[in-house]
Amino acid sequence: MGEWGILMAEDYGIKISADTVDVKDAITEATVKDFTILSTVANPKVSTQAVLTADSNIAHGLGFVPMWDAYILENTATEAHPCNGYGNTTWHVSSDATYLYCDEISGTNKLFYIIYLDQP
Amino acid sequence: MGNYGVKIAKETYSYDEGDNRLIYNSKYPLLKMKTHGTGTLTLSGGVGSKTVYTHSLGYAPFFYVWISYIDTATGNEVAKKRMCSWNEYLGLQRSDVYIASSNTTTLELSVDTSATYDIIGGSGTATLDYVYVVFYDPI
Repeated sequence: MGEWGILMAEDYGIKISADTVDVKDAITEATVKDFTILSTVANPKVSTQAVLTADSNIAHGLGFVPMWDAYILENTATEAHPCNGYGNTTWHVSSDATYLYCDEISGTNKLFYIIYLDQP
Repeated sequence: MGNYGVKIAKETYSYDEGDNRLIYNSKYPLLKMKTHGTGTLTLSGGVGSKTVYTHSLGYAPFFYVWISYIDTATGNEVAKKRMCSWNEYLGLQRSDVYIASSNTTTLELSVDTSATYDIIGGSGTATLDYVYVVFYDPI
């Protein structure tokens, strides 16, 4: 069992290791994944998220093409399907530096979206 | 294992009302961004592929790719970006496909819009813009 814990790095910042991982293990390309958080590595931060019931162009205000994800919610929101042309559907969401375009909503489904603050 | 670590509760909730009520819990990993970037993919005959990114992680990492696409009615590029992988069904078992995948050394991007050009004609020459993010976290 490694020495799990939270450590202020000798140089700067915070490193928290995963369970069973020694927090004092060296950070390498291959071991970054073994830490739950490293203050030297960025984590996605949610800018906004919501459930839509009608087609909308969401003005995200970021000024760049953002990271985002979206799902169609069906059967009274008990099923979530990625908006990627699943099967023979035409569910697609798209974005540019101004909007997230959500125009796949019908009377029987909803759409969940999440937009991240971090610039890809 | 001792019961220690960091928990940050949402406003109006206590730290001990369940992990799903926490802003942060050091027990659970956060996605860690390794790199990001933009690029272009050239289509010839409606088809193109490329290695977007080469890494040395030794495992297939979690990733996102968003890419501009071909209007199936006109054959022209639409600047708005959709998230890979996805397809545009054209009927008669034909689809345009936009596929991104990661493996132990690379992030790959492959596009086949030949269905559109087979239907509407044209050279199928286009340059698509993409945006990507690769995480340290494995799939």
